[in-house]
Amino acid sequence: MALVTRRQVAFERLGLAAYLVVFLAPVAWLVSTAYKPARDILSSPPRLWFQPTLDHFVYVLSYMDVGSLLRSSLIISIGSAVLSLLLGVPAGYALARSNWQYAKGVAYFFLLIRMIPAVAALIPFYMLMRDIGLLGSWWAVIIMNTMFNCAFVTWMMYSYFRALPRDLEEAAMTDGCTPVGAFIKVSLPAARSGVIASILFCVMFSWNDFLFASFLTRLDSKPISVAVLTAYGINDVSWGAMGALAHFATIPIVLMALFLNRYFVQGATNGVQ
Amino acid sequence: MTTSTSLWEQGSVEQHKPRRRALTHRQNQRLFLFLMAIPALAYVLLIGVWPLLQGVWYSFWDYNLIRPTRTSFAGFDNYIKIFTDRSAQRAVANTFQFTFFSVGLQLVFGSCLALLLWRDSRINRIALALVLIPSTMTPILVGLLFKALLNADFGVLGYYLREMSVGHAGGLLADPNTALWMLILIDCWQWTPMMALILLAGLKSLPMDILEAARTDGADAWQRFRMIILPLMLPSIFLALILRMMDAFRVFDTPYVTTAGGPADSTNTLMLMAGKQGMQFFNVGYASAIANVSTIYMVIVAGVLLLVLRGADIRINGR
Amino acid sequence: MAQIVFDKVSKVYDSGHAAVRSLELEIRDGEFLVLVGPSGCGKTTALRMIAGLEDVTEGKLVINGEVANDLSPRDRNIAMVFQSYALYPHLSVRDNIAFGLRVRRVPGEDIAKKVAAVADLLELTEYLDRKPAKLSGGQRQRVAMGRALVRSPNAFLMDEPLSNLDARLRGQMRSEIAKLQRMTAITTVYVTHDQIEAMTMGDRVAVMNQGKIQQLDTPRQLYDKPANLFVASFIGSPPINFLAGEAGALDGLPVVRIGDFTLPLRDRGAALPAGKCIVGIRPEAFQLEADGSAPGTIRAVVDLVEDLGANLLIHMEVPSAELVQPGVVGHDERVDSTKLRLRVTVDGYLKLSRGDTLTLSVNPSAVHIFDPVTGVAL
Repeated sequence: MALVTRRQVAFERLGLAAYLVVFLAPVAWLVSTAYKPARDILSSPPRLWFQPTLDHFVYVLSYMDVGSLLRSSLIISIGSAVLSLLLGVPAGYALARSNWQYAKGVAYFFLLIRMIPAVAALIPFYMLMRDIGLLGSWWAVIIMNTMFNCAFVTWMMYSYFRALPRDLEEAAMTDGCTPVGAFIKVSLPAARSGVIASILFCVMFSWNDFLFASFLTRLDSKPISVAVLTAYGINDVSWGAMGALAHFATIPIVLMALFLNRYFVQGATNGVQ
Repeated sequence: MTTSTSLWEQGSVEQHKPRRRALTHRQNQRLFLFLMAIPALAYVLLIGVWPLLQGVWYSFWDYNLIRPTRTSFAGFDNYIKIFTDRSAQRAVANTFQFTFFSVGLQLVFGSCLALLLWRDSRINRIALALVLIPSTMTPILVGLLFKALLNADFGVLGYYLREMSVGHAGGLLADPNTALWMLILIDCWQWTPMMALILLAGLKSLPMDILEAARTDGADAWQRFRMIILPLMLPSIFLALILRMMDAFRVFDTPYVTTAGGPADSTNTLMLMAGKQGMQFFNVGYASAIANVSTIYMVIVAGVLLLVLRGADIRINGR
Repeated sequence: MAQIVFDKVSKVYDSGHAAVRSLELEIRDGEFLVLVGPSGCGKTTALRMIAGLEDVTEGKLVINGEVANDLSPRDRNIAMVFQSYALYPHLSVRDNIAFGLRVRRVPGEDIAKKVAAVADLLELTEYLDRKPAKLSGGQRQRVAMGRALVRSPNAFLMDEPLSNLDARLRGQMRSEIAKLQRMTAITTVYVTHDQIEAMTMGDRVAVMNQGKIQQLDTPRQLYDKPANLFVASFIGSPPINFLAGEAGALDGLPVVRIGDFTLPLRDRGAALPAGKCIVGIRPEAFQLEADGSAPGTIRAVVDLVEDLGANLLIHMEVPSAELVQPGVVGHDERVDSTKLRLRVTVDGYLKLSRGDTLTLSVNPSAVHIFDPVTGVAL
C-alpha cells in the first residue's frame, strides 16, 4: 500500500473520526456523569453543561468499600490468570508439538468450550461449591473463571506455538537440554508475546465478569463488576455514584488494554489463524 | 606461529554420559507432551463438561431446590414446555433474532472499520487502541450506560428521540416493539470494535505482494476487494462469525441489566430465561433443559455456518 | 513499447534511508536492461518506482515521453513478475493469467484466445485448470511470466524471478526469458543479484551500489573495462584478485611493480600517474610460464587446489607481494594479507599439488589499474 492519494487519506480519517465519535461519546458521557451534580443528571431536558463536583466520588468512597472491591477484583483476576496460564500454556504447547492426528481436534475442542452457556455450568457448579463449602469465597469464582480462561489460553498458545519452528527446540535438545528444559528456556521466551496476550484476555474476562461473581460470592468477597450494579440500585438509582464507581471499574482495564495494545492486537491475530 | 590443536581433540569437552533409560527418546517425548496437556484437559472436563452432563441429567427431572425432596422424574416434560410455552417460544425467537442481527451488523460495521484501519500509521494505531475501549468495559456497565442514555426523561439520546416522536413515551427500551432492537444496537456498540480487530488481523495477514500484483495487473480498489481480498479473507471471516455468534447466543449481563426480559417478554432470551428459572425460582430441572436446548441450537447454528462457509471457501479457494 | 528515463530520481524513506540517489538512467525502447548489485543497492526500489509501487521522492520518471511520477500502477500498462511470483492462490492458472485482461473488461473470447496462445508458448496448457498450490516452482514461475506476457504491456519488469529456482532450472529459464524478450521486443527491466544472469541476459547492464549506478555498459565492456573497484570485484566469477602496486615506467614503457615483481602494462595513451595503485587481475587472465626467471612474471606457491572439472582453481601464496581486499570505495578496509590468496584458473588436466611453485604471466591488457583512494579505474 505504498501509494495512497491525499484524498484517500482524508476520506479514511473522516470515516475514522465518525467511528471514534460513535464509540467514544457514550464513554465520555459516562465519565462526565461522575462529575455532574445529581440534579443535572436527572434534569429533563438533559443538561450538557454543568458545574463539576466530586460529591459522587466522596459518596462512593465513603459508603462503599472501594478498596475491598478492587482487592476482590484483583485477586479473582490475577488468580484466574495465573491458574489459567499454568494449565493452558503447557497444554497449548503439547497440542502444537504433538504428532497425534487428533491434536488439532482437541485444540478446537478447547476453543469451543466457549459454547457452554455460563448458566448451564453455573447451577451445578453452584451446588458443588455449596456442598464443599467454598461458596462465597474467591476460590469459587476463580475456579469457574479458570475453566473458560484456560480453554482460551490453550487455544491461543496452540496457535502461537504452532507458528514457532521446531528447529529452536531441536537445537536446544541437541545442545543437551531435556524436552522440559527446551520448553522453558527456548519456546516460552519465543512465545512471550502470546503469553502476555493470554494474560490480558484472562484478566479482562475475569475483571468484567458479572454472572459468576454475583452468584458465587458473598458481601465481603464481591468484586467491583458486581458492585457497579449495586451502586445503581442504592438510593433510588444513583447514576452519579455509578459513574464514579465506573471509573474504578473501568480505568484499570482500559489502561492495561491501551498500554498492552500491541499484545491485544497480536493476540486477536493469532487467535484467528 | 604454532596453533594448539588440543582444542579439537576428542574428549577435551565434557560430554554427557549416556544414561540407560526405560523409554526411548520418542516415547519420552510423547509422555512429556501428554503430561503437559493432561492438567488442562482434566480441569476443563471436570469443571466444565461434568457439570454440563449433570445439567443434562437434571433436565429430565422436575427438580427444584426449594423443595428438593419432592423431585420426580419428568422425562421430556421440561423440553416440551420449552416448545409449547408461549413465553419460552418468544424467548427462542428473540434469541435467534438477537444473534443474527447483532452479529450481522457487527460484521458490516466491523469490516468498514477494519478497512479504514488497514493502512499502518501512527494515527491508525492510536485510533484502534481508543476504539477498542467499549470492548474492554464490563457488559453490566455498558447496559446501565445505555439505559441512562436512552431514558426518555434525562437521557441524551432518549430525550431527543422522544422529542422527535420516535418510539414510546417511556423511551425505546420501554417499548416492546423496539426494545429488542435497542439491545441489538447496544451489543453492536460494544462488540463491533472487537469484530473489527479480528477482521483487521485477517486483513493484515494477506500477502502484500499479491495485492501489488493485482494493482500492477490493473485492478482498481473495488475489483481488488471483490476478486482478491474477499475470497482470501473467507477463513478469517467465518471463524470470526462463529466465535461472535457463540458469544451473542450466550449474552446475559447486558440484557439482564437493561430490560431483564421485559417489557412483556419482548427481550427475553434463552439465557435470561434459564437464569431466571435457575437462580431466581431455583427450578433446576427446567433451567438445565433450557440451557441444553440453547447449547444444541448453538451447535446446529455453528455447524450450519461451518458447512456453508466451508462450501463457499472450497468453491472460491479450492481448499 | 516504452522508453523509460530516470531523470535525477531519488527515493528517500521516512526513516531517512536513501535507497536511490539521484539516479540517471535511460532505458531504450525494446532493450533488455539488467539492474544488478548486492542487496540493498537500490535496484529493486528503482524497479518498483517504474511500476508505481513506490513513489518518487525527487526527480522525474518519464515513460514514453510523459512524466509518470503520479500515475497509478494500473495506468502505466506495465507488467511485473515478482520474486515470489505473487500468484493468486484461489484462482486457477487460467484465471491467474486472465486476471489482467478480465479486470480491463476484455471480451471473453479474446481472453480465451490470448490465454491459450500464452499457455501454448510457455507449455502450460495442461495445467490451466490447476491451482498454484499444486504446481512446482518452475511451473509457477512460468505462470507468473504468462500473466505478464498476455497483457502485451509497454514494459516488463522482473524482480529476481529466478532466485527461487534450483540451479539447473535457473539455467534453463535464463535462456527462455532471453528468447521471449527477443521475440516480443518489449522493453524489459530485469533485477538480479546474480552477475551471471546479468552477463548472459542483458543488452546493457547497470551495476548498482548504495543507490547509485556504478557503471552502465554492455556485459562485455563491464568485464573488459570495469570502471571502478566495485564493478571489477562484482562482475566475474571467481572474483578478481587485487594487489597493492606502484605504477611507474621501465625503459619508457608503463609498468606496475607488485612486491618484487614487475608487470608490463598496455599503452593507455595518456601516462599513468606514478605512485601507489591497486592492481586487478582476473583469475582466468593468468598463463603458466615454464621459465621461472622471465621478466614480467609473478612467482607464487600453490596453497590449495580446487578441482572444478573443466578447470582447476588454484589458491596461491605470493611471497613478497601484497594482496588486498578493498571494501567499498571510501572505506579503507584491509584484511590481513597473510589470509589472502591469489586465485588462478588453469586447465583441468594439469597435475598440481600443494607446495608447487608456479610462474605466471599476464596479458598487459588484462591488467587493471585502480586509484587506491577513489577506486576509479585508470
